[in-house]
Amino acid sequence: MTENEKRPGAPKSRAGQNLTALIMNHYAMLHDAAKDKQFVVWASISVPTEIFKGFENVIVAIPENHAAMSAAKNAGVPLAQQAEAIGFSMDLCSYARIDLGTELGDPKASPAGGLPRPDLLVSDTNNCSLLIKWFDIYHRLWGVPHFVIDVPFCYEEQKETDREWIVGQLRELVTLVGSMTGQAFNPDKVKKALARTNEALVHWKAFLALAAHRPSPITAFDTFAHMAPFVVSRGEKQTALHYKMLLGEARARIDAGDYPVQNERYRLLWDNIAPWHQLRAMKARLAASGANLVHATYTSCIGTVEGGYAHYPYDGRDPLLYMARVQNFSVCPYGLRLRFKAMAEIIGHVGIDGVVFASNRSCKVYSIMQMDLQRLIEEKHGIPTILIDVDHADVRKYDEESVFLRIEALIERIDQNRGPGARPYRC
Amino acid sequence: MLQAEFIDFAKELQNPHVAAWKAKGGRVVGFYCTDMPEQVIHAAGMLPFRMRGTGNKDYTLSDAILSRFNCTFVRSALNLAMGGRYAFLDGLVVGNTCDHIRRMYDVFGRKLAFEPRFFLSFPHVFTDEGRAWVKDEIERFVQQLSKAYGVSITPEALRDALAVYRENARLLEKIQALRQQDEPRISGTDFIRIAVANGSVRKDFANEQIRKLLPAIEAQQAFRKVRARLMVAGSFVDNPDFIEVLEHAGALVVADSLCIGERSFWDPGAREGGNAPPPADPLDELVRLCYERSLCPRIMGGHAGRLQFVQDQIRDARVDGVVLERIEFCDLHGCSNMMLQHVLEDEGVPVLSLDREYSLGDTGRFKTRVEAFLEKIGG
Repeated sequence: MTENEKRPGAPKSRAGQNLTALIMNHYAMLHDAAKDKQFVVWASISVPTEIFKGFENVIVAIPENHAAMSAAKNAGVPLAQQAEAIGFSMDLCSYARIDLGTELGDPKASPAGGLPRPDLLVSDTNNCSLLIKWFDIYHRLWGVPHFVIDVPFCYEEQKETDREWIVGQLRELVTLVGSMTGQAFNPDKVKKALARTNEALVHWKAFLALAAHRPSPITAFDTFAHMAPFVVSRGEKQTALHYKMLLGEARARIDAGDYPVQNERYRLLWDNIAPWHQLRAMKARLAASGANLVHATYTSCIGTVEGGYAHYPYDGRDPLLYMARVQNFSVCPYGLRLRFKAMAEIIGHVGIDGVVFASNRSCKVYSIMQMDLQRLIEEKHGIPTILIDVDHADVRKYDEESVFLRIEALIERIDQNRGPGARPYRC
Repeated sequence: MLQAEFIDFAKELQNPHVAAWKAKGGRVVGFYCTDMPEQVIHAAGMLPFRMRGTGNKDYTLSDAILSRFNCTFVRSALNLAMGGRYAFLDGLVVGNTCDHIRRMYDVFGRKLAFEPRFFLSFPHVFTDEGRAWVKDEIERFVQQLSKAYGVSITPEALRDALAVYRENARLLEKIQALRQQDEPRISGTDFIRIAVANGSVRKDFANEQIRKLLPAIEAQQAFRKVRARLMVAGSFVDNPDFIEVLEHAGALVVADSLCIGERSFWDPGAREGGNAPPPADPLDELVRLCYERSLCPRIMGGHAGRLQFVQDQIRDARVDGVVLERIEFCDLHGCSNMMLQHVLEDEGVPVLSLDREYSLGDTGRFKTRVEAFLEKIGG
């Protein structure tokens, strides 16, 4: 067994343990708070949930996180099958099928026992079309109000009119939650939450930037796992503290010369949502080849706007205006130009030898332009790329051997580009 | 089957009307969805052409760009375009209607170096602010189209275009009335042929043709013995053969909720307004047509309206069963159809749910399921 292969089985780091505790506490809190009759919001991942901090006793559950966690804990397929048995097509997003299977089937198969029934559904068109329809199903079945934040399509930098349109909707959301909970909105609390998110993002971006170090002290798999606090506990003190701890640990690894892929020879970039059911296995097998996924477009975009690499900071002013401005963080709905820009920024900052485009059967919006992006990256950056087939949460649609066959071909191309006898790169 | 040159236009992409239009120097601008303001293209003196995948055999070219889990309609139309079959287009309009179609804006630019292209971003919810947004977008589109082709699009030209489209809707409503009566005078297959042809020509030309067709339809022998009166609802259908498979089994499609079918001319706003004059600002009428009346599942929170439309059709056309069809990988109809299915079944309406490819490659399986469905509902 090589040194590289030992890494994935290593005991959890402090940040890893903290992450587990944070997530477990979150799901326990959700169920406890719901029992206490607190107001439960289900929000999609792009909803700026700091807005709910302007109210007391409003808790937020993120069905996508529940689905990803279920997939990571091998519960994705049985839950998805429950939705398929009701009639939902197997070609719909596996997050949706897992979540619909949990809520409309038997939630006992869920590692978190499902989610407490919502009082309000809030979705965001900045994710994908399917997500809104998925929430709409609950709206119809349970009669729960569904608020849609409709974000203008992002082909370019956000226009003033677009921002005003989003701010108007956030105001409506505030009014709706206020009327449903009988509370007055406190914008100062939202400012405080945004300041905490901002602090967390400073640590996060510093953590991601460490990938530029050779060898990298981090992997994209770390970023996939550790993005969870941004999803489930935005605007909380513990979230900022978590990212501070994560950053500290990664820096300490550099000082100690202790890297996730000790003999790192191939630095790869991942484009798409994480393959949640494969994190451990894929990381181990890549490491055995001296390959490290050092970055991912999926996690690099958190805290940025419109394909940028740098953090777009909160200025402490109008919270609704800022939340509207950063709606354009997600790479998913971009047009080709901004998608390319996001990748080019990462390549420029981090140093990438090859790009793994994960064509994700469950995320059509993320996958739909990857073949064009492949050609653009090869043309403009001379970096070899491959396209592999995955599904972010349905392991039935994943074949490890065919994926690694292509990854091996990518590695061969990287070697070929370096030429005979060339050093892989300077460590 | 109804015989007329006009309705044969559904069989091919570049029909004789398009060819004649091009021969005299006319421009043809393609557009993808029902909710796009094609009236603006008409007002600019051009021919708005509804994008289709007619005649596509495989995905050899388009699959170099799109994944196999993308919508097969989108892959078909792109495959035709990459093979040069859309060379007659002088422009393309794409909206953020679904993730697959929206992507065509980039693909046509990058892979086909196709210009000019126009992108319209429309809201996904019904609100007052949404109306203002749509109006802004359409106004911008008017300006972009004018600039791209050096033409003037005056409010008068828009009003004239809207009048032509209103008449078109009234004519199609008359045909719809003839297919939903107790003894229908037209099959669902012919109805779709007319609807498809209608989307492939200038509407003033279409109106002439439909006016000529109406007496022939009224004179057709009535369909008296049918196994079941069906409604078809769901994803884009521009292939009349799809409807023919249902009718070949002995059913008659008397109603639909398809974007190229009834949803393309359904306009309750105009009906409620009766003979009231249209709004002074033609852009306001376009907002109503492109946004307020939309039955597209891309509109979130619009389920109640879509369900009501289906229920009204079932009642008005005395439908015995509903075929909810969906092109594979269509997220929007995948969820929307499920919501419709559960409600309709609770109401005792028999439903056949069909996932299919855009092309009719799996006709055998399809026929078997249709036969079983007709037996189930006692037809």
